[in-house]
Amino acid sequence: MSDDIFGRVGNDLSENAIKGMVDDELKSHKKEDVSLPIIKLKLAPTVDNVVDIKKKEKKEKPKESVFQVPGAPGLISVKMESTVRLPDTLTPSQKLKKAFRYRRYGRPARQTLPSTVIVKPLPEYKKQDMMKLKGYKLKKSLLGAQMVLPALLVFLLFSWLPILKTFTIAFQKFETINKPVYVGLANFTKILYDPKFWEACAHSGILSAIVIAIGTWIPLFLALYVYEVRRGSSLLKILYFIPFLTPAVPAAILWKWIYSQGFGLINGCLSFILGHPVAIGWLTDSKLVLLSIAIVFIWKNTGWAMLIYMAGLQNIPKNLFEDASLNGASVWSKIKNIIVPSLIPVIMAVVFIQIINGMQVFTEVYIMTNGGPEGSSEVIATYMYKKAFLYMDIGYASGVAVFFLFLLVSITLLRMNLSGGKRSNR
Amino acid sequence: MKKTIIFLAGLAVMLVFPVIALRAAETDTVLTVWNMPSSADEKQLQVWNEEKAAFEKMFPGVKVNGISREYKPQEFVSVMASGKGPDVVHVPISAIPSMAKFGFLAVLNEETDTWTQKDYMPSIMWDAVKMDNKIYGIPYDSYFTTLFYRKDIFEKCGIRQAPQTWQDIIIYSEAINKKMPGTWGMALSPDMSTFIDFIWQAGGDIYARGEVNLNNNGVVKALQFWHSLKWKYNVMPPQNIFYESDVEQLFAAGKIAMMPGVAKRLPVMSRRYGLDMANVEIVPLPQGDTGIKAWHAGGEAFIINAGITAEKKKLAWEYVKNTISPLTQLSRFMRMKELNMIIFPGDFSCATNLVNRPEFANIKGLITFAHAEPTYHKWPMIKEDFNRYVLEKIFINADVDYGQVLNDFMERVKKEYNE
Repeated sequence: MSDDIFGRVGNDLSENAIKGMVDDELKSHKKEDVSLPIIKLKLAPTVDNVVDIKKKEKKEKPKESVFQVPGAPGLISVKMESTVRLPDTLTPSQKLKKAFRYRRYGRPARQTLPSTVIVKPLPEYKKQDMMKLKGYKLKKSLLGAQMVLPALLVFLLFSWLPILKTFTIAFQKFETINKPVYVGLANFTKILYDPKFWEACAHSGILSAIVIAIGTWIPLFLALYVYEVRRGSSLLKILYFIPFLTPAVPAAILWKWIYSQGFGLINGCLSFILGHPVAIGWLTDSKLVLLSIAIVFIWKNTGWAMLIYMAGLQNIPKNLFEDASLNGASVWSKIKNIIVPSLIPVIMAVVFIQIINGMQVFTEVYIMTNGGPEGSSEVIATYMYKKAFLYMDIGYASGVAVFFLFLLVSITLLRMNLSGGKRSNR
Repeated sequence: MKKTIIFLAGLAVMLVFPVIALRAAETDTVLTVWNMPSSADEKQLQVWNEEKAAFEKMFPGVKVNGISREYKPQEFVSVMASGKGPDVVHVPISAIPSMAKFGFLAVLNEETDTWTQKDYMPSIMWDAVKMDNKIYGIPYDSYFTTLFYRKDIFEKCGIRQAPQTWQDIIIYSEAINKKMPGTWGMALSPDMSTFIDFIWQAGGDIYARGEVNLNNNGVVKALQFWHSLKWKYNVMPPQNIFYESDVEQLFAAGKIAMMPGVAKRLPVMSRRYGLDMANVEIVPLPQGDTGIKAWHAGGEAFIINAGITAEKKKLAWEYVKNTISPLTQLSRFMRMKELNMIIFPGDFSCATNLVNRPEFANIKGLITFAHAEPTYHKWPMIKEDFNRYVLEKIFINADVDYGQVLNDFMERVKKEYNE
C-alpha cells in the first residue's frame, strides 16, 4: 500500500497531493492505523471526515441538552437540563409539537432559566391605577374610531345625508322653494305609468348590454396580449390606461368631433377609403346612437378592466401552462381550458361593474347628444337630471332616483349572491 | 406641561383667529354678484374690476364679491333653494318667468317706478321681465335674431346682396354649393329660439289666450320650410342634427355661408373659433312670403334675490343702478376702446345707443319689430320638448306628416303641462 502511494505520488510531494492520498487511504482502510513511507502525520478528524482512526475509550461526559441552539452555545450561559419538562396541562399533540419545535429551533432561553429563580410577588395594585389602566385600554380601543371619525363624518354628510333626503323628497311633491307636500306613493305610481322613464330604462339596458358584449372581452384579450408579450408591455398598459384617466367631459367633446356626421374623423376616413362622401349619423341616427355612446364608454373603461384581468392572470399557477405546453395544448386550448375557467370570478366582477357603470352613464350622453335624437339616447341618469333641473319636478326626480337606486342595489346583490355561490361550491 | 401649554395656545389661536377675521369681515357688507367675466376673458375682467372698485369707492364699507359663473338653471335653483343664493345675478330674460314663479326673485316695482333710466330701454324688454304687472328683473342688454353672412364667401360666389326672403336663402345656397363644393348655404340647429322667428314670419303664433298653441298654419308653414331646406334643397351640410356650437364652428371655419344668430355671440365665436370679424356682415333675418317682419328678442337682466334683507336689497339696487348708469356705460365704452376690445351690444345696457355704430347699420331700429317669448313659467320646458320631439324629427326623417307630429306634441303638452 505504502509503495503504491509512493508510486502514485511520484515526484509530486506537494502537501495537497499527499493529503489527497492520505484521505484515500483513510477511506479505504477505514479505522486502521496509517503508516506512510515519507511523512508521518496524524490527521485530526474534521467535520466532513469524521472517522475514528483509533478507537479510544472516552470518558462519558454528562449529556447536555439536545435542545441547545446549534452554533450559538455561548448565548446560554446557564447549564441546561437534558430534558425539558413540559407542563402536564398540554395535550399529547401539543407536547409533541413543542418537542419538535424545541428540537428544531432549540429551547427558548426562558426555558433555560434555573428553576431556583425566586419569583417575586407582583406589587399590589391600587384602585386608581386600575382605573387608569382601564382608561388607557379604552383610549387604545377608541383610537381607530377616532381616526376614522372625520372621514366618516364627511361621508355621512355628503353621501348618506343626501341619500336619506332623497328618500324623504321621493314621497313629496316638491318644486324648488315651494313648501313640499307629502303625496305618499304618488311619485312611484307616476313612474309606473311614465313611458318616457321606461324608454330611458330600456336605453340604459341596451347601453349596458352593448358595454358587456364588447367591453368585457376586448380588455380580456388586451390583457392576454400584454401578459404574453412582455416586450413593451408597460408602455401598452399606460397607453390603454390613458383614456381612463382622461376627464369625461373633454373625452366626450373629442368623440363628438370624431363622430361628427358631416366633418368627423371617422366619416372622413371612410370617405377617403371608399372614394365617395360618407355621412353616417353616428350620433344623429337613432339606430346607431347608443352603439356610438357605448363605444366611447368602452374606450374609456378598457384600461381599468384590463388591469383587473391582468391581476387575475397573475394569479393563475404557471405550472398549469407548463403542463399544457408539454401535453401539446394549443393557445386556444389554453385560453379555453385554463385561462377562462380560472378567470371566471374576475370576469363576473368586471361584467357586474360594467353593468352598474353602464346604467349610471351620464356625461357621455349629456355632452354628445343630450338624449337626442328624438330621445333615442335618453338614459335614466339624464332623464332624472332633466326632471329635476329642467322641469323642476324634484319630487318625481327623487322618486326616479330611489327607483334607480333599488335597481342598482338589486344588481349588486345578484352579483354578491352569484360570487358567494361560487365560493361555497369550492 | 410645556407641551400642554403649547397645545392650548395653538388651540386658542385656531379658535380666536377666525372669530377676529369674521369680525373684521363683518364691518364690510358683502354683495355677492354672479355671472361676472371669467379669468379667461382677461380684458373684460379688468374692465369689470375697475367698475367694481369705483362702486366700492362710492359706497365705503361695501365689498362686491364677483363670481364668474354662467347662468345654469340647475345650479341656480339649487343655490337659491338652499337660501344661500347670490344677491344679484345676471340671467337670460327667458329664465325670469320660471324663477319668479318659484319665488326666487325680488319684486322691483317700487325701485323702478321713479327710475328715469327705465324709459330709455325698449318696452319689449320690460314686457319680458314683467309677470302680473310685477317687475322681477332689470333689463341689461338686448338683442334680436339677425342673419350673419360671410362676405368672403359671398364675394367668391359673385353674390352682391344680402338675402331678403326665404327664397333667397335657397337660391344663394345653391349658388354657393355649386361654386364652392364643400361649402353650404346655412345650418340650423333644432332650437325653438331660432325656429320661433320663422313661425312669426309665417304669420303664426305660439301663445294665445293664456295657452300655448303650437298647432297652427304658421307653425306648419315654418316646419315645411325648415324641412325643405334640409331634404329638398340641400341647403345644409350632410348632417342630420347640428347643435348651436356646431353651427358656430362651421360658420367660423367657412363651411357655411349664413347662419341665424345674435350679435352678442360674435365676440365669443371670434375668441373660441377664430372667426375673422372682418368677413362677417350682420343683416336682418330674411322674411317669409307673408312679408311680416318679426324677430325674436332676447337679452339679459339683473335680478335680485328675494331672500335678502331690505337693507341689502337697497344696496343691490344701487349696484344695478350704478352699473346701468350712463356714466358707467360711457366709461366702459371708453375703456374697452382703449384696450382694443371688440365692442358689441352684449356688453352694454340696452339703454345705450350702441346700435348707432357702423357695424349695426343694417339692423338699426329693427328692434321695434322684435317679439318676446311668452312669459309662461313652463315655456322653457315646452321649448325643450318641441326641440326634441318636433324639430329633431323633421331633421331626421325625410317624410314627415307635420299635422300628426304637431297633434302628438300638443297632446303631450296638455298631458304634461296643463296644471
